[in-house]
Amino acid sequence: MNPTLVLLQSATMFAMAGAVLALSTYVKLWTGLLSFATVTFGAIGAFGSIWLYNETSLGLFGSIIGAAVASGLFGLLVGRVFLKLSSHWLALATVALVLITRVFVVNLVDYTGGSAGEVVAYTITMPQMAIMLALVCGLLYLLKRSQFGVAADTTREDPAVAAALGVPVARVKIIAFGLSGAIGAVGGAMQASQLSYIDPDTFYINLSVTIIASVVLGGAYHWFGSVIGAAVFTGMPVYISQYITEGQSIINGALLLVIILFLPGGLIDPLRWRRLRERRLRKRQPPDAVDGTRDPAPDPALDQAGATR
Amino acid sequence: MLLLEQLINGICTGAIYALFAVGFGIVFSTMQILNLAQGVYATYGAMITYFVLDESGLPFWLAAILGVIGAGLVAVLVDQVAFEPLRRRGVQLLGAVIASIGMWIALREVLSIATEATPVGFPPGTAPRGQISIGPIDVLQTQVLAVVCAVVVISAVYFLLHRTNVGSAIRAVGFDKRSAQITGISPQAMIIGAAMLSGAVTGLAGILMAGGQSFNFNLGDALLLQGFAAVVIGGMGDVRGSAIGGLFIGVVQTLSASYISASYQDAITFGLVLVVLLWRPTGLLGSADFQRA
Amino acid sequence: MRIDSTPVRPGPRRNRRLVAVALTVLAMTASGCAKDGGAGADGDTVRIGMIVAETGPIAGAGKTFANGARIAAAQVNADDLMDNGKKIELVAKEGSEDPAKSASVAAQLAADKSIVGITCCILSTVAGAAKPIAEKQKVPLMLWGATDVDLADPPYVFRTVTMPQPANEKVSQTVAEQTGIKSVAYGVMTDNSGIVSQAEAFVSGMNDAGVQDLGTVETLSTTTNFTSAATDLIQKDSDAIVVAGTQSNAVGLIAALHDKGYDGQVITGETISGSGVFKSQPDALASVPFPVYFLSDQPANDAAKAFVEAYTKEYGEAPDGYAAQGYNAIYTLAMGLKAAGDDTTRAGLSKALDGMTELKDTIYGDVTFDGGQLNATSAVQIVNYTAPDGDIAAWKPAN
Repeated sequence: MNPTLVLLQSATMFAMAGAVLALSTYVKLWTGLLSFATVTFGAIGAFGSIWLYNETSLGLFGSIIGAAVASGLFGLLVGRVFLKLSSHWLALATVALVLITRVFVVNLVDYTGGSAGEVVAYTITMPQMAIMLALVCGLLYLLKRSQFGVAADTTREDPAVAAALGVPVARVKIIAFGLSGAIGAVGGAMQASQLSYIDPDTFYINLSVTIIASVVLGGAYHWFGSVIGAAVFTGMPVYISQYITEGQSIINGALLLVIILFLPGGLIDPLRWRRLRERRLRKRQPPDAVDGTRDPAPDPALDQAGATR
Repeated sequence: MLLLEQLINGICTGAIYALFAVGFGIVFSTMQILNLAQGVYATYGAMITYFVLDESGLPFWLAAILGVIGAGLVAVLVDQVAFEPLRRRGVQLLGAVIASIGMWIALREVLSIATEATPVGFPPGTAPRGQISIGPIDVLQTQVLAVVCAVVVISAVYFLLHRTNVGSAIRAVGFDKRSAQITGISPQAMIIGAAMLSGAVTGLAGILMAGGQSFNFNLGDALLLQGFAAVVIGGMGDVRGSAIGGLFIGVVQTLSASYISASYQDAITFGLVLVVLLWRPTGLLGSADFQRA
Repeated sequence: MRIDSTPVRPGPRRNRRLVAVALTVLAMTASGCAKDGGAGADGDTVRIGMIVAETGPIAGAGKTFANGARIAAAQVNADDLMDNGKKIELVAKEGSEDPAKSASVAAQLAADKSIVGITCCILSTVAGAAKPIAEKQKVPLMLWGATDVDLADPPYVFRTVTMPQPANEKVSQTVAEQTGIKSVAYGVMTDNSGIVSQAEAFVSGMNDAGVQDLGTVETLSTTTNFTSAATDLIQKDSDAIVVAGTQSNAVGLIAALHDKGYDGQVITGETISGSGVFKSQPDALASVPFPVYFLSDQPANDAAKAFVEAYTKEYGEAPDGYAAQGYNAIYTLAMGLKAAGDDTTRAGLSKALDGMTELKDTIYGDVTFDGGQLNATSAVQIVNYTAPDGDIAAWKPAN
């Protein structure tokens, strides 16, 4: 096969794995929770599925589903335990969770290979990855239109109002964590397959930062944003590093900053689009592309992810 | 005797964490920003000190002051470039976290390039090294320096924030920008002042951390993790809380590594962080007014 | 003293090599584009993929690996070491020593059928990621840095990195014999399997020398302050302390031991070699013995001498151990290609490398291959940094 095609294929597969991980973070953000815990779920998914694949006869998909179920249950537990933490404190608690995860991966040598890491016994092909990503996207598409979607939107906009309207805020948040756990596990298995060799540092702070950056870059208000964000933030560097050898991280950092300053809703921002549409309907001057910066009205949704001010 | 010595080691490490946590807490309590770029200030403090020492014949204390000022200026830069536009738009947690991640990644890479990713250390004969005896106990000069700096600086910050008009103004900005403005305070000046103070204190923590060992462009990342464990334990809104949280983390880490297991040291520390978070979400000493944030 | 264990081998080669080096340097200066080996106009040109780490967290080491490899390619070509005008062309791709990026790059190189072999990998994780790709695509992979046990796996995965384990065993034994230490304690970074395995080699060397083991103090890759570990180690009151850790970890612990006034013998591994390390902690590191396989001040033979001269000329500093590793990876691949004769395909190279049992006159002297792994234990020298300028010199016990 043509080397450029191989590079494209590899970048695409990393982007798909990154997209599933980003979606796992998105589900929590949907209910207004900023969490780094996706990496922990990814670790459970990767190490768990490899262990199941080696030790049982569940096969590739059985192993991944098994790990996803375990991670989903763990997600429910984490969601329940962290329930009363608000905004910043929840974010900090999930960072602590990521740090603790690494300690367990290092020390559970029999299940994870310890600090030596382990070879990923299975390979997920590109079509299989595409199907897995499509399934996760399909799930989120359905959820968006479901009762849960409405409840999640409302919870993010204003938990107090949501509760007053009869939305079971606590349950919505716990379910979001459970879903995030299951989806994160699938993403972790995909990432592992793509790396073919994983160790305790594979699922650590760096990855969680990349994932959150992907979600925000793509847009935190629609699941499709996470997919786009992951494509840009995990797929692109594979390409860019071929041409720019020094200072690539400076570009990444600056890119993040520019996005958050000038496109606060990310690349996929339904709210901004709606505003643009409405303005156009009102026959005003067509606004320019980076109009968001001059918009005096704060993004209500972004605000909500923040604080109970 | 070993216990006593390790306790002292823990307190001395904790003093550095305490300084870092205080710097972290200033940004958080005045601006409600969870700033992941905070560790970078520590690295810049240490690196600027190193470059000054390496390039010029200036004495250590002068180089350290330059490092502290430099770290403060980096903090102001981060604040004005990344946070100010967001503040103007009223964007909260998520935007600021992402902006700080962006600054973190970019500023760290600058240092990586500047040092070619190799470890550096303060040139011999510049920074204090070696031991001095205090009674029957030998302690490192760097440790004494860390404790003295922490006590003096943290007391000064506490005094500044809680006992002076400027401090009241800074805290008032943290409470409510508009009402602060009504009372005739320039919020802009106060925010820049707070950023400067936060960066300077954090930079000092970085310099103290770097003294006596080799370090590279990653120095602040480890401090960031320990530092926020400290603020979670102590509560972010209160200088005293952050300081005690830092000391506590230092002692717990040292004693758990020495007496329980180094392998599980991080699990013990951060497990404790989780327990405290769940038990008292605003920290052990978290003040009631802080719940608002 | 058995420091210079590899005899110098004078011979007809010498002049030829010197001429070659002169030509190489000329060619490099003249063309300026010879950086990646510069294929000649006549004769076969064989393309070798090279995954470099000239950016990223370990760019410091990564640059010297790549530079060493470039010198090797230039010398092989200028000197016609593969005979009949056969030449190497290096195709360098940046992988930043990041597993994900490097895996992508490896896949890309493996897919390019004109690439006959690939060389890469400083970190074992990255090697672990590249290895299955090479095996699946049946392309010979030469690992130049990753030292985790059992990474070499013929017929496709070979490793020319000189392993730290036998070197550590030797440094333990030699120092124990020459200083007469009776007891030893270990400071080991335990969350890195490569380091743990290196520590085991120290232990086995000390046991063989009959030194009493007083126990181990653990450090972690996340440890930021080594005073506490140093306190625990000094408490054991041993004649010697062995420090096993990655570069910053080992230097940190040695500095802390120094500051805490430990006056016994400190011993460590080759992780503390590398540019800038001595300068960062001169007082603590001076006189700490560690093993190296390659020393630019004392080249083992003419090949090493020629390498040092060419490298110094091109890059303005003497090559360190990492540069030697990079050089040797390409040199070994070239010798494999030479042995493969006309069959300069992946299969041919793989077969030739698999059949290789020894190489003479490498920059490490004569080396052997066992299960795809290079062995150069005879080249191990025990050295230490010397104050004030950080030159590396043969270690001698203090009086």
